[in-house]
Amino acid sequence: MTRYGLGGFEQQVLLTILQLGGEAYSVPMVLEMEQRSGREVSQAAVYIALRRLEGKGLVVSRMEAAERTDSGRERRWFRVTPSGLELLRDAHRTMSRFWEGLDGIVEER
Amino acid sequence: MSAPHTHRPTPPPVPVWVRWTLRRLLDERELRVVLDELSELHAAVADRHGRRVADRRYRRQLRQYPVRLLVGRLRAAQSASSPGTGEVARAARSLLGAPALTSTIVLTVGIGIGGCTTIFAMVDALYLRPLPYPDADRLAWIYTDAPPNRFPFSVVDFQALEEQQTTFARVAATRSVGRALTTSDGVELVRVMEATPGLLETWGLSVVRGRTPTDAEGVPGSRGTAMVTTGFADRHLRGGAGGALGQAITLDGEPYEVIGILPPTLGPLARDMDVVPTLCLDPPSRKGPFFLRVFGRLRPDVEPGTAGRELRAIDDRLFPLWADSYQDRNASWGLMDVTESARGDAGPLLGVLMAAVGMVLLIALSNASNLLLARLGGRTRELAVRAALGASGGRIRAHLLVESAWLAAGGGALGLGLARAGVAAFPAVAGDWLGRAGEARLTPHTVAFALVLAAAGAVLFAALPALRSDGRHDLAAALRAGGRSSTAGLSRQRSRRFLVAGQLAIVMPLLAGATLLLGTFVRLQRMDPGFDSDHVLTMGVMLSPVAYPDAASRERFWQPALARIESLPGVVGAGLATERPPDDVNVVNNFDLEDRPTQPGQPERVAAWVVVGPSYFETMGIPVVEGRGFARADLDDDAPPVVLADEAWARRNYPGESPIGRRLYEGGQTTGPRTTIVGVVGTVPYNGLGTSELGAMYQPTANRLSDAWLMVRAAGDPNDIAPQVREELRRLDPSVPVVRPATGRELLHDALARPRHLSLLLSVFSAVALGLAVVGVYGITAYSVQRRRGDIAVRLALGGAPGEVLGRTLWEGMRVSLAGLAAGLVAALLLTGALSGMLYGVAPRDPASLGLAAAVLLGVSAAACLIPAIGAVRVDPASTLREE
Repeated sequence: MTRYGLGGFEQQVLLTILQLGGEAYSVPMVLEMEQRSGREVSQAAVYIALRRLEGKGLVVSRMEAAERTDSGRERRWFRVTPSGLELLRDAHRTMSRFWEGLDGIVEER
Repeated sequence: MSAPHTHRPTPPPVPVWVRWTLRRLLDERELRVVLDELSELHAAVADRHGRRVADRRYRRQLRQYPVRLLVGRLRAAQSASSPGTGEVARAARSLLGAPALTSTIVLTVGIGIGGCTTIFAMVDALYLRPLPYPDADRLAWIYTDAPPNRFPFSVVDFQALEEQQTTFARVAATRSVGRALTTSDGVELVRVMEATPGLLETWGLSVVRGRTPTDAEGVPGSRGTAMVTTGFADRHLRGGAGGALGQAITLDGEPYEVIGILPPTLGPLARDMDVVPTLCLDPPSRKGPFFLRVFGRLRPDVEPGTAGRELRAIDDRLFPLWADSYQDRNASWGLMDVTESARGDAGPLLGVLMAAVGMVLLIALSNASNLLLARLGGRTRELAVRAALGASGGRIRAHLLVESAWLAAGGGALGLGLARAGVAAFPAVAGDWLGRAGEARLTPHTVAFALVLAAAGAVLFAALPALRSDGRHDLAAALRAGGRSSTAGLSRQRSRRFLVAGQLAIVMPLLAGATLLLGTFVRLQRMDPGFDSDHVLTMGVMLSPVAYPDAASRERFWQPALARIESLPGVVGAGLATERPPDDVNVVNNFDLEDRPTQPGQPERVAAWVVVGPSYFETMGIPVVEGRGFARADLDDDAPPVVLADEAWARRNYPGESPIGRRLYEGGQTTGPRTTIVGVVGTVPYNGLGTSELGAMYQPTANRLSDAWLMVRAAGDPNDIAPQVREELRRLDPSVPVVRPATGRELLHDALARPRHLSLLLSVFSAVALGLAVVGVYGITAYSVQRRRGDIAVRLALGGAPGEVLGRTLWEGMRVSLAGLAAGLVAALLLTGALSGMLYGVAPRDPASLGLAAAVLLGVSAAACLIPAIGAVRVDPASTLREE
């Protein structure tokens, strides 16, 4: 696999799946992301990002039939794949190296 | 995650375009999931922030989905670099890199497509869209057929038709008249269409509420009934259309009970009509007058030809019964498809306009082709490099075709936008002279037409450059030539010259048409209208038959009215007439001259027939040129009937002789006293400016007309006296409506609306076309100077005369112009004949007009060649040769 850098929004999407217990679909993800970011998140953007990540093998999805959901509607559930997880860790390590020794700036805020 | 809801709020509806786009981007199941998850989020947001926030957000999200999906798809396609989409994107980038070229082509082609589509919308309204009457092809207009004229029916005619005909399921007669409507605010004039009881049934329409009149309600002496539109009911009746039934409206002082509400539109047969009172026809005492517009609906099994034969048979039986009051044996009855009759005389007009905008589009297309060819010349190196790097000839041609498709799409989109604006503006520009201009719409037909034009345009202007780029790109030759003077360059130059000459050939008939129409307009404007238009004020005054039932009562209104108006300061005189120049004629009467009787089989002579009160001629400033004017004694009851003729009438009926003392029978009668011509007055047009050949006859009357044009002559500006004149009339009787006031100048201005607008439109079209073509002429001359710089420099260095260089360069451009002009003259001679019905005082092939158009064309192209030619003379031999 060619090395692929994760965008900021893509990282947020992947992390939100993990925050929601490892598997999630778009509606709770949008709500969760809004709560954490404090601003409105576009469902269309989340959906497109998930499809793109799936295309790159960073998430996998399964459909849940309408009869089995509590809302009576169909859903597509996403999970982060091992390579997705690996890229997340990578991104985190990279960012941490940039933050090294700069904790004071964060404290001040 | 919120708990499951037993009652979820329904999200707003999904717009059609969103659903349409998403269907194309997602499979069915995916689409369901997307919409399901969207409405789930809607419910969650509604829970937290309320319904309004949720709805707004839902709508925003709906719009975002298709856009984001499309963008994602395009990105994926580009990174995958599939050849098809790559070419599309590359062509778009390459065009955006040449903004001047791209915007010029899109703009000019867009204007062409927009113009054509606008005119086509009118053609569509008149020729392609069915009239709003069910089975309109079974609906006929029935008329008195006296070739070349078609006259309305008389009461006698209609009653005989109704009684004897067997080929129509229903017939009905109508008459459009102005009536004084009494409202709570006073009196206003309304145009109404009086109709016999079967009108809506004949047209195949029905009332939306209430009923149509019964046959009994069409009998003279029955209670007045009327149908009105919803709009009229809302404006004038208590409770609007809902409560209108049973209420009474007052027309000309008489009550009419509202019995039915008309459909929103009655179509082009009754444009702008709000009230349809039931027409009761009194039994006639003579055959004429002829004022009824008659319609019939053919029975399903009857051919129009059969109906026509029956109509003529009824007329043959009817004729002897009324022979003492009507002798025009030549006239019979005829019928015509209403669709055709509703078109009126719009056909030639639309043809000319369509041809004109079509020519502009053709020039825009060839101009685009020319520009693309020129660009191809400049891109020889780029394309050769691409070919050398492995792009096939087909690939390069595909690239050029895709570029053209982009340009055509841009032109088509702009054209549609312009057509939208054009269609909206059309009634304001053409409403005065193209009656149904308001019906032009952007229908699917029209849009399809614009798309076909754009597609055809793409093929047309792409064909030449794509063919020229035949794929044989010799890199070495192209690099050696440095983009100049290769063989390919020469043949390209030939193609460009051919295109430019073609453009000029198209411009020439346009210029000729514009010159002819401008000449017509100028002649009409300069024409002596025969009356003193600078000082005359006119207005229509209608005395209702209820308040003014007889001649005596009308005279009791007019005598003091005219006396008071004449005593106003600034007023010189006042008079009455039944017709108003230059184009408000209602009555064209037939007559038979005693010493030149109508030959059997010939139609009777006709003339505009104007009934005038004393002092009409003095008021209008119309001179008596021979014999005498009217005298007081002519109005006595036992006076012998006399008339005045105008000079045009005299020329037509007694060429080279005096008509004074000649006698005639008027109106097709042969009994009673003959009428004597006692004088000849100056010619005044009543049938429209430039159409006075028919002539007019004047018959005297006392000041006792019910519907009259009041003419007032002012010492100065007639606008200054208008308020006082109206005030005097109002003071005498506030219930008398005064309609369509206009000064003589305004009348002439309005009468010229059609020639003015037509000549303006054609001038604008030909100016645009000429501009485009001349840019082409400039382009080839400048290119040839550029190409021959070295050559010119050598000549000048060897002592060649600058005059010779100038002449040679000018000739380079002008020979193209001359070739274009020659072809254009032929085209003009062939095409200007189509204008003949719109011209006045100038022949369609008028040499002076054609010469003027040719001179303009040559002059402008010479100027365009002169600029690069002067540049050629200024070539500095030393520096140019050093560069070489």
